[in-house]
Formats: sequence, C-alpha cells, structure tokens
Amino acid sequence: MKSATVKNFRYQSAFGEMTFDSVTVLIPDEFGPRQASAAKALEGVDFSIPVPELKRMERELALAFFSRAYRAIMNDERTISVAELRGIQDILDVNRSELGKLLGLHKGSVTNLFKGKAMKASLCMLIMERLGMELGRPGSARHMIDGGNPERQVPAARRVINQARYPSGDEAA
Amino acid sequence: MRLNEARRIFKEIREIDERISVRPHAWRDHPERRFTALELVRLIRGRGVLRDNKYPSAQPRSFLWACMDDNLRKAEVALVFEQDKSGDLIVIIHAYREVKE
Repeated sequence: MKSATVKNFRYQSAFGEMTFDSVTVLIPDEFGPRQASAAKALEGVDFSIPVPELKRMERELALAFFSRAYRAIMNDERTISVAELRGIQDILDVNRSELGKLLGLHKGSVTNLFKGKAMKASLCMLIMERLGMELGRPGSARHMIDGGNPERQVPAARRVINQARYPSGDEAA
Repeated sequence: MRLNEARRIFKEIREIDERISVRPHAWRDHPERRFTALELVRLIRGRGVLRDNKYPSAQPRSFLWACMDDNLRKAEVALVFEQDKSGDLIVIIHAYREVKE
C-alpha cells in the first residue's frame, strides 16, 4: 500500500459533512498517484483512511458542531441527539462507563441516554463542556478519568471554543 | 487457526497498535449497524478473540476480530495486515453487528 493525498475529500460523521482540502489515504500499489489526487477517482477503489487522519477530520467536524450548537444548547433551544452523543464519545475516546464518570452519571443512565432518553439542558451543557475541554486540549478527558499527561493545547481550537462561549468578546469579564 | 498462530497474530495486532487504517466501507455502507470509524478502532484496541475469516465472500488472508461493543452486543471486525514503506499496518475492512433497536 502507499499513501496518496486526495483533494476536496468529503467526509461525513454524526456532526455533519465537511469537505477537506487535502486528506492522506492509503491506496493499493497498482493505483496511480495522479488518479488518486481527485476524490472522484477513488470510487470503487479499496482505499483506507489512517487513524490520525480520521481523528483530525472528526475533530474538525466536532469543532464546527461545537461552535454551531453551543449557544442553542445553552439557551435550551436544542438538545444533543443520540448520533451526536456517539460522536462525542468517539472524540473523548472513552467507553460508556468512563463517559458516566465524566458526566457524574451511573453507567445505566448513560445507556438510557444512548437509547434516546430525553436529556436535561444542564446535562447537555455538561456534555458540551466536556467536548470543548477535549477539543481545546486533546487527552483532557482521559486525564480526568485516570491521570496522565494531556497533550498540548490546540490554540486554533481554543479560539473557536472561546468564540462560541463568549460571542461578544466578554471573555475577560 | 491453531493456538500458536492466533497468538502470533494477536501479538502482531498489539505491536502495530498505533498503525491502524479503516476502509470507509466498514462504517459507511451499512448504516443500520451504527458503527463509527473511531468506534471500530476502539473495538480493535479492546478485548477480543481472533478467528479465521471463513465466510465464502471473505477477502483472502483476512481475520475476524470477535468482540463485544459498549452495549454488550457481539461484533465482528474483519481485518487484514498490509505493508507500506513505514512497515506493517492493520486495515479494518469490514464490520458486523446486529442492532435490534
């Protein structure tokens, strides 16, 4: 297998769809590099996406979701869907019992959430806070659960999170 | 698959844990199974049993990773070992579980 860079790659997850400028994928050896530069040329080819690229795309989508939904959730205009919750679990990289620990819920209550039980606004906000924490500093969720060193902050993500939290620039207040 | 063979492959999976790649078919083509790409990676890194992939339509030299998901449902993840210029890597090619919701 060999790596190839694909331009204008469309990726869809629970948080929505996004077109990425360039994504590295793995393609079979017999596939030409020129063909691989176009996303359309990959149709019918058994290409695969490496995990770091998957994580990068998921994080980008999650960040877009955070900035789009934070205010609406805070104002109780919407809640978090089951698919979105599943996506958030993926971003936090925890299992359901650990998600329960992060949210202060019993494992059974977390299972109920995944079955579609209605969430309180305060719980939705807590989930969003946990998501924001993880996006701003990858590894924070794992650090909260069992210690360890969170990775360095991601300034670009931190900026988007702060804009969603404080849209009028009242961060200092 | 004999026990020694299974052990060798299991060890291989653990050693190349960081180099996993996922085919979009595994999570995109069967939305009723409700897999996500990163969930498949989590399943591979968790506990499971390695089996030969004996399905008639199976890709040659592929293996089945039989495990349980978060909801204690049986899941099967098909994987193959590939090589690129940086060395070995695991490619997740297919995944199956029955969702009764």
